[in-house]
Amino acid sequence: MENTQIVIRNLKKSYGKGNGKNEVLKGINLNIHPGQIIGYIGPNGAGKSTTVKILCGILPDFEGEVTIFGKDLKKESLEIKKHIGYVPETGALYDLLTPREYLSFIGTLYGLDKDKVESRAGNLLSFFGMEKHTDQRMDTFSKGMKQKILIMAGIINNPDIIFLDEPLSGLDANAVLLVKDLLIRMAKDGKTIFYCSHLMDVVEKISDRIILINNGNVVADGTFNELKTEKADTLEMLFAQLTGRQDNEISTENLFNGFHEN
Amino acid sequence: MVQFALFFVRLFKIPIQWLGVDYPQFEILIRIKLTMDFRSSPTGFQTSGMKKRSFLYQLFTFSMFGLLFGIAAFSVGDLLLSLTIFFSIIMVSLTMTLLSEFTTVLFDQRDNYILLPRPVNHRTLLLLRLVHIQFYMGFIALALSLATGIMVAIKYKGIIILIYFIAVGLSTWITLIFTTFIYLMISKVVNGERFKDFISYTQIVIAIIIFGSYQLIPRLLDAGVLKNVSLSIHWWTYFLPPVWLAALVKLSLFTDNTTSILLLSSLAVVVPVSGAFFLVKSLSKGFGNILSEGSSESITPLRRGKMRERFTDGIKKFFCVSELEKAGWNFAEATTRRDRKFKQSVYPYFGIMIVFAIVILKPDLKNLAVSLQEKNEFSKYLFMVIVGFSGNAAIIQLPYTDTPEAAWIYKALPLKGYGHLMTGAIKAILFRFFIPVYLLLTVPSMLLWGSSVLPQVALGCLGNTMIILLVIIFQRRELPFTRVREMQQKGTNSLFAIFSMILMFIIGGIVYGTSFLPGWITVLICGLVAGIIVLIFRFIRKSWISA
Repeated sequence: MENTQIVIRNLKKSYGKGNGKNEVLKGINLNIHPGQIIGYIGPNGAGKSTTVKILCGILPDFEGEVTIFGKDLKKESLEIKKHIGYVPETGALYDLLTPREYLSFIGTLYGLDKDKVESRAGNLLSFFGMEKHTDQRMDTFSKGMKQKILIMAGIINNPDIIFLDEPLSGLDANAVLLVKDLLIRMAKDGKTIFYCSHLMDVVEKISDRIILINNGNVVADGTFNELKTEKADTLEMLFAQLTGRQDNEISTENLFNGFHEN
Repeated sequence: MVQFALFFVRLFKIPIQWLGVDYPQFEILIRIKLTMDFRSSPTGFQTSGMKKRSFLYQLFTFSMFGLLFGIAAFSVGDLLLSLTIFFSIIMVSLTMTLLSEFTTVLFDQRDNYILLPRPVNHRTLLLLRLVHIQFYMGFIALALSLATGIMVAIKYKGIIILIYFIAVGLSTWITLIFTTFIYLMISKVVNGERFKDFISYTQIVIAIIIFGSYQLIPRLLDAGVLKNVSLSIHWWTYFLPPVWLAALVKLSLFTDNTTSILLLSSLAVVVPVSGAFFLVKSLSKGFGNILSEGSSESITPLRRGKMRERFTDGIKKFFCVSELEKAGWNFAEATTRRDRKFKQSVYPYFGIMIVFAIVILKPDLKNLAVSLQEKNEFSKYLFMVIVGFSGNAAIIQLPYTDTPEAAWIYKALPLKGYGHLMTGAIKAILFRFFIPVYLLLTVPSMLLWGSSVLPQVALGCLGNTMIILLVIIFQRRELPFTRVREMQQKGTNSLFAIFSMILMFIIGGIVYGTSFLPGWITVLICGLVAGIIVLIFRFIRKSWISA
C-alpha cells in the first residue's frame, strides 16, 4: 500500500435517474503502482472512459474512494491534476490556434514558465516531426496530426501519471511506434501509464499489467502471462473469452443466412 | 481588441484575486478565448465572417433602439424617473440578449476535455465565462446607451458623463450576475438533459417576448402621462436595480441629493461587487458540476406510447407512396423532435406569428376577443392565414444542422434521385408543424366567428401548403440536414419574410374572395388538393436528383 500511487475503492458511477438510470461502474477496486503500464481494456460501454474521466477529475460526482498520490480525489483534485496528464479519446482541441499557441496555453495552465513551455513544446513538436507546422493553425490538420498534438498536450507538464484514452487513433504506423517507445520510456522513468485501447496487440506488447472490465466490473487483472490460458493464448482471444460471445462464428453465420433469406 | 480587453481585465487584477481566482490562468484563458473569437477559419470562412457581420449588425440595431429609448426616456420630466426607465429598458434588453444568445457561452461544455483535466479551479472557470460574456454584453450596452449618453453629455456636462457610463457597465454586470445566479439555483432543482431543455424553452419564450415587446409596448404606452410624473422613493424602490443606477448618475450632479439617493447609489456599487463575491466564491462549484455533467454519457431510453406509434405508422402508410418516402419522413420526424437548435429556430415563430397577426390587424388589446370578433371579413381571414403560416419556419430550417458532415450518407446511397426522401421529409414537417397549428386554429376561429369559417380555414391551410411547396421548388432548397446552421443567410430570411408577407395577403385575399362566391370554395379546395398531390409532390419526387 505504501508504494501505491492510485487507490480505488468500490468506485461506482451512474448516469441518469429513476428508470433511465444507467450504472456504468459497479464497484471497481484497484491498486496501481508507479512505473506500471496499465492496459485498461474492455468492450464498448464497459466503463473504461468513465473510469479515466473520474480519475482525471472531469467527472467529480462518483461513489467510492479514490486516492491519488495519497490525496483524496474529491477533496484535493486541483493538487492531483497538477501531476497528471490526460489524452482524451475525442479530438478536443482549440483548433483555431497554432500548435505553439495551444501547447504554450496548456503549459501555462500547469504553471510552467514561458521558457520551459517553449522549450518543451519545441522538443515535443520535433519528436513528432511537426516542426514545420509549429505556426500553422490546427483547423487545417489531419486527424493524426491533431492526435499528436493531444498527446503532446497530455505530457507537456511532465506528469507522474498519464491517462490515455485511445491515444493511437488516427496515427500512422511510424507515429504508433514512436508513441509506444515514448510510453515505455516514461514508465522506466517511474511514471504510471494508464492506457485504454481496443488495439489488443499493442496492449499485449507494452502493458506490464492488464485490467479487463466488463459491465462495470473488473473481470481480469494481472500480467498477460498470468492471464493467458491454453485456450486463450493471445489477448484478443482472452478478451473474447471473458467478454464476448462464445458463439461468434455461429452468430456471423446466422447474420449472413438472414441476409440471403431476405 | 484582445489587448484592449486585457487592459480592462488587468485593472481588476486585485479584486479578481480576492475572489479566489488564479489570475495568471484567468488572463491566459481570456486571451485564448478572445483570440479564437477574433480568428476566422479558412474552411468556415463565411461562417465566421457571418458571425462578425451579424454582431456588427446587431450593434447597429441596438444603437438605433438606444436612440429611441433615449428620446422616450428623456421626454419624462423627472431625471431620476427618466434614468430609471432608461436603465430598466437597458437591463431588460440585456437580460433578453443574455438568455437568448449567451446562455450557450455560459454553459459551453465543448471544451470540457481541454479545461477540466487541468488544474484550473471552478472559480477561475466561472469568472472566465462571466467576463467573456461581459465583453460582448459591454458592447451591446454601449450601443444601447450611446445616444442617451450624448444627450446626457450635452444637457448636463461634467463628471456625470463618466458616472453614466460606469452605471451602464454596472447594469451589464448586475444583469449577468442575477441571471447566472438564477440559472445556478434552477440547476439545483433540475439537472442534466432537463436543464438543457429548460434553457432551450426559456430561450424560445424570450425570443417571443422580445419580438412581442418591441412591437406591442410602444403601442400600449401613453407618453403624455409620464411627462409630469416624478419618482417618489418607497421601501420597495430599494429592491429595483434600475433605480440604484439612476440614483448613482443623479448623485454625480451634486444637486438635491438626499439620504435616499445616497443609499440607492451605494447599492448600485455594493450589490454587484458583493454579488460577484458570493457567486464566484460560494456557487462556482455548482457551476463546475453543470459543466462536468456535459461529459457524462447519460442514456435516457426514448419511449413512445404504443397507441401513438400505431397512429403515426398508420398516417405514414396512408400518405407515403414508397418505403424511401417513409424513411425520409422518419428521419425528418426524429431529428426535428430531438434537435434543440432546430426547436429554438422554429418554435418562436409560432408566438411571433400571433404577435405579427395582432400588429397587422391592430385589434384593441384591452379587449382582444371582442375586437377580433368585430373585425371585417378580410381581417379575420388574414388572421387565420398569418397564424397558419408559422409552420413555414420548419420548412425553412429543414436543410440546417450542426453536423453537416453526416450528409455523406446521401452521396453514398445507391439512389438515382432524392425526390422520395425529400417529399417524405416535407410530409413529416407538414404533419408535425402545419396540421397541429390548423387544428388548434380551428377552435378559436369557430369560437370567434362560428363554424361557417371552417371551409375558409381549410382553404387557407391548403393555400399555405401550396405556397411553401412552390417556394421549395423555386428555391431548389437543399436536402434535409445538409447545411451548416451558421451559414444561414440572414438576408435570405428577410427576403423570405417580405415574400411570405405578400403571399399571405394574396392567400388572405383569395380566401376572402370565396366568401362572396361560396360555390368556388369547393372547386378551389379540390383544385389545391389535386395540385399539391399531383403536380407538386410528383414534381418534387421526380425532379429532385442531386444531393
